[in-house]
Amino acid sequence: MSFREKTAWISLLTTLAVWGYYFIALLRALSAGNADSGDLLGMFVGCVVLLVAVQIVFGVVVAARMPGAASTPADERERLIEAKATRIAYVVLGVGVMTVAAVSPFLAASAPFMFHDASTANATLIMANGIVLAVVVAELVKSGGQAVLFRLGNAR
Amino acid sequence: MTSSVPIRNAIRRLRFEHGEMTQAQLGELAHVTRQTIAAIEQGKYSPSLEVAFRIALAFGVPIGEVFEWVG
Repeated sequence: MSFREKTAWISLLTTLAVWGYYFIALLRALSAGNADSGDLLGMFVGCVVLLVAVQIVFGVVVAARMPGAASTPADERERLIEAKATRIAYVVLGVGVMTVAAVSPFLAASAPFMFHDASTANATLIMANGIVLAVVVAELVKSGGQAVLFRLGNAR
Repeated sequence: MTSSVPIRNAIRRLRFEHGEMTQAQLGELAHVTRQTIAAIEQGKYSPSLEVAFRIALAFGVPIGEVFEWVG
Protein backbone atom coordinates (compact mmCIF):
# COMPACT_ATOMS: atom_id res chain seq x y z
CA MET A 1 0.00 0.00 0.00
CA SER A 2 1.43 3.37 -0.99
CA PHE A 3 1.80 6.28 1.43
CA ARG A 4 -1.06 8.18 -0.15
CA GLU A 5 -3.37 5.17 -0.09
CA LYS A 6 -2.65 4.74 3.63
CA THR A 7 -3.36 8.45 4.15
CA ALA A 8 -6.70 8.07 2.34
CA TRP A 9 -7.70 5.12 4.53
CA ILE A 10 -6.67 7.01 7.68
CA SER A 11 -8.79 9.98 6.64
CA LEU A 12 -11.77 7.77 5.78
CA LEU A 13 -11.76 5.73 8.98
CA THR A 14 -11.02 8.57 11.42
CA THR A 15 -13.65 10.84 9.82
CA LEU A 16 -16.21 8.04 10.01
CA ALA A 17 -15.37 7.28 13.64
CA VAL A 18 -15.24 10.84 15.00
CA TRP A 19 -18.16 12.33 13.08
CA GLY A 20 -20.16 9.13 13.43
CA TYR A 21 -19.89 9.50 17.21
CA TYR A 22 -20.85 13.19 16.97
CA PHE A 23 -23.96 12.69 14.87
CA ILE A 24 -25.16 9.71 16.90
CA ALA A 25 -24.81 11.83 20.05
CA LEU A 26 -26.63 14.69 18.33
CA LEU A 27 -29.52 12.46 17.25
CA ARG A 28 -29.85 11.06 20.78
CA ALA A 29 -29.92 14.57 22.25
CA LEU A 30 -32.53 15.74 19.77
CA SER A 31 -34.65 12.63 20.30
CA ALA A 32 -34.50 13.07 24.06
CA GLY A 33 -35.48 16.71 23.68
CA ASN A 34 -32.48 17.95 25.68
CA ALA A 35 -30.27 19.30 22.93
CA ASP A 36 -28.30 22.15 24.47
CA SER A 37 -26.60 24.44 21.99
CA GLY A 38 -23.67 25.11 24.29
CA ASP A 39 -23.02 21.42 24.93
CA LEU A 40 -23.32 20.56 21.25
CA LEU A 41 -20.98 23.37 20.24
CA GLY A 42 -18.47 22.09 22.77
CA MET A 43 -18.80 18.58 21.38
CA PHE A 44 -18.42 19.90 17.82
CA VAL A 45 -15.22 21.77 18.66
CA GLY A 46 -13.94 18.76 20.58
CA CYS A 47 -14.55 16.49 17.58
CA VAL A 48 -12.75 18.87 15.23
CA VAL A 49 -9.74 19.02 17.57
CA LEU A 50 -9.80 15.23 18.09
CA LEU A 51 -10.01 14.51 14.36
CA VAL A 52 -7.12 16.83 13.55
CA ALA A 53 -5.00 15.37 16.37
CA VAL A 54 -5.72 11.76 15.44
CA GLN A 55 -5.01 12.34 11.75
CA ILE A 56 -1.75 14.12 12.57
CA VAL A 57 -0.63 11.29 14.86
CA PHE A 58 -1.47 8.56 12.34
CA GLY A 59 0.06 10.62 9.54
CA VAL A 60 3.31 11.03 11.47
CA VAL A 61 3.42 7.29 12.28
CA VAL A 62 2.90 6.33 8.64
CA ALA A 63 5.40 8.94 7.44
CA ALA A 64 7.99 7.68 9.94
CA ARG A 65 7.62 4.16 8.56
CA MET A 66 7.81 5.37 4.95
CA PRO A 67 10.14 8.38 5.08
CA GLY A 68 11.04 8.44 1.40
CA ALA A 69 7.45 8.12 0.21
CA ALA A 70 6.14 10.82 2.54
CA SER A 71 8.54 13.46 1.23
CA THR A 72 8.09 12.54 -2.43
CA PRO A 73 5.48 14.53 -4.40
CA ALA A 74 2.43 12.62 -5.67
CA ASP A 75 3.03 10.97 -9.04
CA GLU A 76 0.70 11.39 -12.03
CA ARG A 77 -1.57 8.45 -11.17
CA GLU A 78 -1.93 9.60 -7.56
CA ARG A 79 -2.73 13.16 -8.70
CA LEU A 80 -5.33 11.77 -11.11
CA ILE A 81 -6.94 9.66 -8.37
CA GLU A 82 -7.04 12.61 -5.99
CA ALA A 83 -8.53 14.90 -8.65
CA LYS A 84 -11.21 12.36 -9.60
CA ALA A 85 -12.24 11.74 -5.98
CA THR A 86 -12.31 15.48 -5.25
CA ARG A 87 -14.47 16.14 -8.31
CA ILE A 88 -17.05 13.57 -7.20
CA ALA A 89 -16.97 14.85 -3.60
CA TYR A 90 -17.58 18.40 -4.80
CA VAL A 91 -20.79 17.30 -6.51
CA VAL A 92 -21.88 15.49 -3.34
CA LEU A 93 -21.14 18.62 -1.29
CA GLY A 94 -23.20 20.75 -3.66
CA VAL A 95 -26.15 18.38 -3.51
CA GLY A 96 -25.93 18.21 0.28
CA VAL A 97 -25.80 21.96 0.81
CA MET A 98 -28.63 22.61 -1.67
CA THR A 99 -30.73 19.96 0.06
CA VAL A 100 -30.23 21.67 3.43
CA ALA A 101 -31.10 25.01 1.85
CA ALA A 102 -34.26 23.59 0.27
CA VAL A 103 -35.41 21.86 3.45
CA SER A 104 -34.64 24.75 5.82
CA PRO A 105 -37.86 26.75 5.34
CA PHE A 106 -40.00 23.66 5.99
CA LEU A 107 -37.87 22.75 9.00
CA ALA A 108 -38.21 26.22 10.48
CA ALA A 109 -41.96 26.13 10.01
CA SER A 110 -42.37 22.71 11.58
CA ALA A 111 -39.88 23.19 14.41
CA PRO A 112 -42.47 24.25 17.04
CA PHE A 113 -44.40 21.05 16.35
CA MET A 114 -41.34 18.77 16.15
CA PHE A 115 -39.68 19.93 19.33
CA HIS A 116 -40.98 20.48 22.83
CA ASP A 117 -40.36 24.21 22.83
CA ALA A 118 -41.59 26.76 20.30
CA SER A 119 -38.21 28.39 19.75
CA THR A 120 -36.46 28.04 16.45
CA ALA A 121 -33.16 27.23 18.18
CA ASN A 122 -33.47 23.51 17.47
CA ALA A 123 -34.38 24.14 13.84
CA THR A 124 -31.30 26.35 13.50
CA LEU A 125 -29.24 23.66 15.19
CA ILE A 126 -30.44 21.06 12.71
CA MET A 127 -29.80 23.31 9.72
CA ALA A 128 -26.26 24.06 10.89
CA ASN A 129 -25.56 20.40 11.53
CA GLY A 130 -27.10 19.58 8.17
CA ILE A 131 -24.41 21.65 6.52
CA VAL A 132 -21.76 20.00 8.67
CA LEU A 133 -23.16 16.61 7.65
CA ALA A 134 -22.96 17.61 3.96
CA VAL A 135 -19.29 18.53 4.42
CA VAL A 136 -18.55 15.31 6.32
CA VAL A 137 -20.27 13.13 3.72
CA ALA A 138 -18.35 14.90 0.95
CA GLU A 139 -15.10 14.28 2.80
CA LEU A 140 -16.02 10.60 3.24
CA VAL A 141 -16.77 10.35 -0.48
CA LYS A 142 -13.43 11.98 -1.29
CA SER A 143 -11.25 9.83 0.96
CA GLY A 144 -13.33 6.71 0.30
CA GLY A 145 -13.16 7.31 -3.42
CA GLN A 146 -9.40 7.68 -3.23
CA ALA A 147 -9.06 4.51 -1.17
CA VAL A 148 -11.16 2.51 -3.66
CA LEU A 149 -9.35 3.88 -6.71
CA PHE A 150 -5.97 3.18 -5.13
CA ARG A 151 -7.08 -0.39 -4.34
CA LEU A 152 -8.36 -0.98 -7.84
CA GLY A 153 -5.17 0.45 -9.30
CA ASN A 154 -7.30 2.05 -11.97
CA ALA A 155 -7.18 5.83 -12.08
CA ARG A 156 -9.68 6.10 -14.95
CA MET B 1 -3.50 -10.24 -16.32
CA THR B 2 -6.52 -7.93 -16.22
CA SER B 3 -6.46 -5.11 -18.72
CA SER B 4 -8.77 -2.16 -19.08
CA VAL B 5 -6.71 -0.09 -21.53
CA PRO B 6 -6.10 -0.89 -25.22
CA ILE B 7 -2.33 -0.86 -24.77
CA ARG B 8 -0.23 -3.94 -24.17
CA ASN B 9 3.17 -3.59 -22.55
CA ALA B 10 6.28 -5.70 -22.14
CA ILE B 11 7.45 -4.11 -18.91
CA ARG B 12 7.47 -7.28 -16.85
CA ARG B 13 9.52 -9.17 -19.43
CA LEU B 14 11.91 -6.24 -19.88
CA ARG B 15 12.39 -5.95 -16.11
CA PHE B 16 13.47 -9.57 -15.90
CA GLU B 17 15.73 -9.17 -18.90
CA HIS B 18 17.43 -6.19 -17.27
CA GLY B 19 18.91 -7.83 -14.22
CA GLU B 20 15.55 -8.69 -12.68
CA MET B 21 14.84 -5.04 -12.05
CA THR B 22 12.18 -4.57 -9.39
CA GLN B 23 9.05 -2.47 -9.85
CA ALA B 24 10.36 -0.09 -7.20
CA GLN B 25 13.66 0.37 -9.07
CA LEU B 26 11.84 1.03 -12.33
CA GLY B 27 9.51 3.41 -10.50
CA GLU B 28 12.46 5.44 -9.27
CA LEU B 29 13.87 5.71 -12.77
CA ALA B 30 10.48 6.70 -14.20
CA HIS B 31 9.66 9.06 -11.29
CA VAL B 32 6.51 7.18 -10.31
CA THR B 33 5.62 4.90 -7.39
CA ARG B 34 5.99 1.14 -7.36
CA GLN B 35 2.21 0.88 -7.27
CA THR B 36 1.92 2.94 -10.46
CA ILE B 37 4.39 0.63 -12.22
CA ALA B 38 2.31 -2.34 -11.01
CA ALA B 39 -0.88 -0.72 -12.33
CA ILE B 40 0.78 -0.06 -15.71
CA GLU B 41 2.04 -3.67 -15.92
CA GLN B 42 -1.42 -5.00 -15.16
CA GLY B 43 -2.96 -2.82 -17.83
CA LYS B 44 -5.00 -0.86 -15.31
CA TYR B 45 -3.38 2.48 -16.01
CA SER B 46 -2.05 4.21 -19.14
CA PRO B 47 1.00 6.33 -18.30
CA SER B 48 1.55 9.77 -19.75
CA LEU B 49 3.88 10.15 -22.70
CA GLU B 50 6.58 11.47 -20.42
CA VAL B 51 6.43 8.46 -18.09
CA ALA B 52 6.22 6.05 -21.04
CA PHE B 53 9.40 7.58 -22.49
CA ARG B 54 11.15 7.44 -19.10
CA ILE B 55 10.29 3.73 -18.83
CA ALA B 56 11.63 3.06 -22.32
CA LEU B 57 14.75 5.07 -21.47
CA ALA B 58 15.24 2.99 -18.31
CA PHE B 59 15.37 -0.15 -20.47
CA GLY B 60 17.37 1.51 -23.22
CA VAL B 61 14.87 0.48 -25.90
CA PRO B 62 12.54 2.37 -28.25
CA ILE B 63 9.15 3.18 -26.76
CA GLY B 64 7.47 0.95 -29.34
CA GLU B 65 9.22 -2.06 -27.84
CA VAL B 66 7.69 -1.32 -24.46
CA PHE B 67 4.14 -0.38 -25.44
CA GLU B 68 1.92 -1.73 -28.20
CA TRP B 69 -1.52 -0.49 -29.27
CA VAL B 70 -4.01 -3.36 -29.40
CA GLY B 71 -7.23 -1.37 -29.48
